[in-house]
Amino acid sequence: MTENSNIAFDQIVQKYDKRLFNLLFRLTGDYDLAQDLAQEVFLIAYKEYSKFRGESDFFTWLYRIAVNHHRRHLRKQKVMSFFGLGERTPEEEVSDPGALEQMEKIEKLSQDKMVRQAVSELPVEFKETVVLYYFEDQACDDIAKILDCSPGTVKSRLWRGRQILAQKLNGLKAANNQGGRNELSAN
Amino acid sequence: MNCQQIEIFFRDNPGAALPPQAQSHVRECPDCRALASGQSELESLLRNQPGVELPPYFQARLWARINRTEARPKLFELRPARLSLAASALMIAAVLTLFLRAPVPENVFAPQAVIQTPSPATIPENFPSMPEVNIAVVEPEAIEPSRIYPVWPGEQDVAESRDLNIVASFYPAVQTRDRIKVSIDDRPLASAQYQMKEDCLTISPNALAPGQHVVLVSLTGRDGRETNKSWSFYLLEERS
Repeated sequence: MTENSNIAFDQIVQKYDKRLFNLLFRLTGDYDLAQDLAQEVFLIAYKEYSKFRGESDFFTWLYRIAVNHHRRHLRKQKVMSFFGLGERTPEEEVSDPGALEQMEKIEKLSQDKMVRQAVSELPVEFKETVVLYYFEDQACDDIAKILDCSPGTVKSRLWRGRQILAQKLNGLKAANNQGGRNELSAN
Repeated sequence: MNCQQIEIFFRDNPGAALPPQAQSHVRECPDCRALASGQSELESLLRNQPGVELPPYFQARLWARINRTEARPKLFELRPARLSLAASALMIAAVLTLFLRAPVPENVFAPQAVIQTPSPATIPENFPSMPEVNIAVVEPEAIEPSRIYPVWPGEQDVAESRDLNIVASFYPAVQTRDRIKVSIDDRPLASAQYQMKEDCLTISPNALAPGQHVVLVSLTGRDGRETNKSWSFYLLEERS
């Protein structure tokens, strides 16, 4: 890449880094892993930048890379866990002190934590759709382009995802209330 | 609108406000009211999820990574298609090298070279003792004087009469001024009945009766020296 295109790519990174990182954080639920994956996605985008023809919005293109990279990561993780490799220990879960601080901030908001947990437990295709629609404010047509499916599929996945989420959140709320009551009676 | 239509509306229009004709039904139907309130609560929960701050030095780390990748030799960036091409090229090169370097003699019917061992070289007195090595030297002058080698049928071979071609080879190569004479059973053959091609003599006798035959090939060099080779073979009776 030339110096000019490096400058252009730097502007892209500055514009989209937070959004991309947030997307991957929602998909993985892991701060460190989201950082690794976001960097890898930018690295792929940097290498493939010359192939971007401007047929779609740049962010749609970048999201597509991110979603595909995340899926690749899940496949790799599945294979590794099959052979009993690459599973993180709780101590390894968050290695960055800054990440730890961020995670603590997130964990404090109990309702947000519940939503995050419920979303992270969704099947991957529903999770991708829900994250892109609600957290990344993408329209159904754009999500369809990113996920390479029809807008109808996006809508039906959103509907099904919402149903699962509602069930999960009700379950988590009930468990939370039960835990709170137990704590009060113990005191 | 009925309950089913309300559900279809929620499915097809995520996040959209209920149309006026649906609102009257939702007010009266407890199931649809629960569905609508649940959907709106979930919607606001999801929409108001806080974002996460970027890890510190994210961009610096990213650029360091990009620079590392750029600095890496291109060999590591070979894609599968390029790799398969490179592998094919390597295979071809390896096969070619094997063929080219294989110790094939100039003429497979050439005589064995006589190997002589020269006297060992003199070693200085203070030189540490080493095992004695004999170096083989091939002397071209020592090649067997006969220059004609039967190929087919060879000495005492049995051949069929159908499409019989008698083949012999010459080593070293026949010179342009050399003269060749061929006879079978002491009868000289006309030059049309044999031909020389790349040190290979092919004899096409017109008609040979079944039984024992003797071939004699004479080569007279430009210096007047004559080389003869004679061999016999057995010709089978032609099958009916």
